[in-house]
Amino acid sequence: MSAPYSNLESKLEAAAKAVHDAAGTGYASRTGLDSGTKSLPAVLFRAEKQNESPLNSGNYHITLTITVMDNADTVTLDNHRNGAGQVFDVFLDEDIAATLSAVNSSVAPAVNGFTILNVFGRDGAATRAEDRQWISEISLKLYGCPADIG
Amino acid sequence: MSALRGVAVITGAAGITLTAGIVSATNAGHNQNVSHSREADHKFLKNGNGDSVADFITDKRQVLSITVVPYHATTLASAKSATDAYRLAAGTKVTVVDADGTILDGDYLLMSSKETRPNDDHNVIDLELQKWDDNDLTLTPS
Repeated sequence: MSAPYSNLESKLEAAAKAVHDAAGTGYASRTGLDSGTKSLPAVLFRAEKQNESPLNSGNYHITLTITVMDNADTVTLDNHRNGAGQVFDVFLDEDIAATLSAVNSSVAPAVNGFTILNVFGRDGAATRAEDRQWISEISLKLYGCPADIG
Repeated sequence: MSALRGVAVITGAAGITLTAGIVSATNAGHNQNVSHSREADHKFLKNGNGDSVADFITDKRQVLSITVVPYHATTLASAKSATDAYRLAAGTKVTVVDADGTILDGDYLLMSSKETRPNDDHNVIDLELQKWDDNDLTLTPS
């Protein structure tokens, strides 16, 4: 075996970041779980909650959470929600499964062998204030695998 | 050792379109659940011990059950029209096309249509369709 192995969460996060960056929302983006180390405004992509179905297939139900963060001291709630809405519109798209799958490995090296087969659920935007930040999140319940399925 | 990296599977019910009796271009609907079965009548020939030794199969048919949520992109009035369009009378011929296979394709006879309007959710339409292997419904049923 060779990199990037079968790490679906890394591939999904990298693909989501590439799709977001191509859309030009104005937010800096990053992946993973480290939500407190970079400056705001920022958008964070993290994949989690994987369940394989059917067993022994390598296909997984996986949740992609997209978190948009703004400085609550300098950004109004309305402006935060407008910015978050712009980010979310990129992903609340009927073709998002194909868009994510089409991310070329030359754009995001971690996305080498990756397919999202379908979207099985969406959680709409929820906004909260936390540590002097505005934070808005959506979640997509995706079904995919760490291989290229044509 | 072989790493599990995924397989191709069919997902969702969006690949099925209903035309003829239902004009899908203007009366759009989100397919929810689809189940399809191939059935027939069976007449078993039994021997003296009561064991079946032959099966006479007749009336081969396909039964398609589909749940649809009618909708329209912009107006509630058009969504109501779409709902009415799916509330077809029994006996209407409906043409089914499946983008994910060929077995389902064909002209079906509508056996029943049922609308459910719960107080706490959107409406849904349940359609029961049937076609027969030896009857292509060339003549419009009445």
